[in-house]
Amino acid sequence: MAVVCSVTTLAAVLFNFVLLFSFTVGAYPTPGQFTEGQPWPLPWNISYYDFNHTLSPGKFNFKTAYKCDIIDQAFIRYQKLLFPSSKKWDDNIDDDFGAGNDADPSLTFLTVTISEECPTGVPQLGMDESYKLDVPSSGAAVLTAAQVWGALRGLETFSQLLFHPDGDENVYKMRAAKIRDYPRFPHRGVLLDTSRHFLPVNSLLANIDVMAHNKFNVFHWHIVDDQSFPYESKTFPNLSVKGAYSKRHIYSQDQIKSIVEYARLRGIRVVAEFDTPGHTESWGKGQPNLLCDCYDDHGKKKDEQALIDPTKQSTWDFLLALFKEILEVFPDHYIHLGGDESWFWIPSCWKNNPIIQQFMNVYGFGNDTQKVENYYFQNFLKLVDRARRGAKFIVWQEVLDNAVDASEAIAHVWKGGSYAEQMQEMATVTANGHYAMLSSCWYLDIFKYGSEEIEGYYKCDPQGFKGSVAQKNLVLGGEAALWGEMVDATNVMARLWPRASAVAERLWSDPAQTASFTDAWPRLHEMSCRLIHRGYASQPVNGPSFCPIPYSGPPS
Amino acid sequence: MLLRNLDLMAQNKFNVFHWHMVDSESFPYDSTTFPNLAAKGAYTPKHIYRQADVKRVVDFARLRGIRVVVEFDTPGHTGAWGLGQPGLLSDCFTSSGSPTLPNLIDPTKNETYTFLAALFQEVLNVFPDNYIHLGGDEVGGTAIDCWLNNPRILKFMKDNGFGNDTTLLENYYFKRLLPIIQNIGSHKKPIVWQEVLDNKVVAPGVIAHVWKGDTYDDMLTEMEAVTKAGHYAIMSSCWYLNYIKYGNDWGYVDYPLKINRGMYYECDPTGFKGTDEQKQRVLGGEAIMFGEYVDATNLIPRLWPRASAVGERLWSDPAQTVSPDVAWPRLHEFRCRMMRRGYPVEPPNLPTYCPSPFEADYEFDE
Repeated sequence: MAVVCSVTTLAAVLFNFVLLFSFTVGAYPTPGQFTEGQPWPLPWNISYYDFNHTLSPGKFNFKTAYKCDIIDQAFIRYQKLLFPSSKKWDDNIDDDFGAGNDADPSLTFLTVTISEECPTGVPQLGMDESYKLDVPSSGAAVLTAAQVWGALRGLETFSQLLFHPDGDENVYKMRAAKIRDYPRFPHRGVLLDTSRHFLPVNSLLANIDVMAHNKFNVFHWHIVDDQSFPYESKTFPNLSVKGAYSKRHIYSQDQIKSIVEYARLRGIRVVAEFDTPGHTESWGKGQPNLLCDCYDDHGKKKDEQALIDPTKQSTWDFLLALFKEILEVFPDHYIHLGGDESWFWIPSCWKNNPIIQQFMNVYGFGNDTQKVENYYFQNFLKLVDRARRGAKFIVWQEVLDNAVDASEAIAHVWKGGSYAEQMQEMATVTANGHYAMLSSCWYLDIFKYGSEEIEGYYKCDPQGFKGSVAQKNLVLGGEAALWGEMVDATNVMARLWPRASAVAERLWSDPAQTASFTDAWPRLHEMSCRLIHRGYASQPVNGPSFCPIPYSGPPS
Repeated sequence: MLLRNLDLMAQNKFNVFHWHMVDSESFPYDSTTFPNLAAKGAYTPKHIYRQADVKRVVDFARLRGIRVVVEFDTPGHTGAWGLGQPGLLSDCFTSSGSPTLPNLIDPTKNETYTFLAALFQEVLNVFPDNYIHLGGDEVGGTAIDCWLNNPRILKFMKDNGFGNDTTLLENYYFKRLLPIIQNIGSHKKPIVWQEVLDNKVVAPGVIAHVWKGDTYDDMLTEMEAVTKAGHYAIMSSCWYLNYIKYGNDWGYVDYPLKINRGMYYECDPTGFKGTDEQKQRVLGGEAIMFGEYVDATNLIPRLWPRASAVGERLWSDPAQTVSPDVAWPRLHEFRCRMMRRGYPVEPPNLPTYCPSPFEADYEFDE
């Protein structure tokens, strides 16, 4: 139970370290159990040759005839990932990798070939992420892909074949292998919540980098909610002026643009969520008359406003103008429209509200507030289409559970306490003919002590329910959700990684080859240590362990 | 990382860094007397505290008014010791006789005590604090495999009139270890996990480190019993901060098991029913962060500001610090202050914000 934190020890890296004892104390795996040069997530088809290449910094190049900014930028990134120079917060790594530079390399370049032309826009659902990677024992190493997105995935895999034997950062080895790879699901996302706690731009960018290392392809940006409204709208500037935590807790449109572009270069979609009609308390600060007054059961007005008021034309005018802007700022074909947990506010803010009561009367809804919610969505979804023709949406499952007609919408499944219940939710949603993606088992914000947690994330399967082939085909993937109640930039990196890596493999890899967490652990352990070596605070998740190269990332 | 943590401890007016230095999994302390202990027992050469590192920590702490009390936990929790010191640990066997992992010191050999004397001679000089933590926890289960099931040791127990009672062998071990410490320096005093004293080892002046109890009531009962038996006591039972759970556990969150349930602010080491004399024997307590799931990637956010709740409980007037609700705005300001000073101290109390957001120092190409 020692606290193994490496105080900055002196630089001399020894070549022989004693390969550690291979026993297990207690129920934990051996602390030093990790693979070398094995990718995560597991490629669908990978066979290793019995050979390790030697690489040398300064004597390696990426080559291509393909003209594309995405590939140009990727080559720069992956050159640095393969051969990191001294990092600014670690005074222990030698700037000149002496021995490494002198090594006689057996592999000096990777040629990249891509069929389809360079996309000018952002990636969308349906992007082709397949690739073929050949790193033979002798001869040229080649990466081939139909689209540039596949090439990005292949470059990441290539970078993961590299390893430092015995943790010697001066020695660069690479596994020779033949890989044919593609993702199991087309939608593989990470949800970050920037309303409960603000996350500064550099934190979002760093996490987008780590998402790319894990082959996630969607950043689900839950950007606003009850507590704060950090999105700076040009059409309605008061929304953030009055609704953000402070003027230092805001995303300008320029910043958002840079984030969308940063993600694009890494083959990651940015799907924004503007959650309504609930979860909107902060909206009312800058947009008076948008929300309903809430009343207690005795008819007394509370000092609270929540739930969008669907009875006013001004509401619809506001929403149309706002979403016109949002759908320009976020070029993804999909927008997440939220729609969860209205039941929480409905009793006080609709049912007890005289204006809504009158409305329900006029429309013949009787006592059924569900009809008000349905009315909201029916009109809202039409409005979103007017805001941008053909806009597609994702909604939290209850919107579609409540039989709102929205044929192409994707249901984001989040309900269910036990795994069995969560699978039942997936079965029901798909039986009703909806596309679905799963987050219920992947609420990474709800953490627990112990190793069972990571195993649970690894094992959860979005198609793990009993259903027809047609139903299973409606499952588009899932998302690891990191709600922000207890998370900000002080702990987001450690809390998200490598737990989200378990989700990444479940969404990318062949379930038949990834059935056992115990078998996967050494490779996951290597992945965690790889992230650490790249400067990210990927935390220990499976008991006492160590990385060959200890963490020396940003002081945290 | 240890140094950064000492800075935060100083800002919270903590005055003891209890350094649980070695354990079963690894032995990172670079002993000059027994260099093989770390050479064979550390995870890798990069996971070692050299003498210069230790000195740096002790000096850094001193300048902040913080004592460094090191713990070399024996006779259990010693799996890693055996790698560099063959013969130190006893061979262990399951009940069917197949060998299992050594994790317990062999108290029957004289060489054991020669070794311990030499090691502690060094350790007590390297660490200038008057107190040394000798551990002594959780021998019970391991003693079955490693003592009872070991024929040679079983014979020793019978020969010495211990029968089948491994507790008596454990006591025998401490009866030999404590005078060793005494001989090295009469001013040096031990702290031990409570079971050593629960087992009626006679050791006047030794401090009991209380960690047992599933519920808050149980924990206070432990404190009452330990102080009633005449021992000085420090409490950690309610402050196992390594047992994370979702929610604002610094002052709230109430699940059945107190160890897991939080309410760190509430826990009071003198909260039991007892005499003034008993309460005088309560010297304080410690927030614990065992390392099964903790390293440099997550130590600071996991420890702070939850440990700040413990800091106030151990420093301030209990009469003025009854309510976490009342304390929260001040804790919130403090959290933001530590964050502004550059430490990734996490948000402990659901949605919040500080005047400026924390920016981690990532490297970007741009």
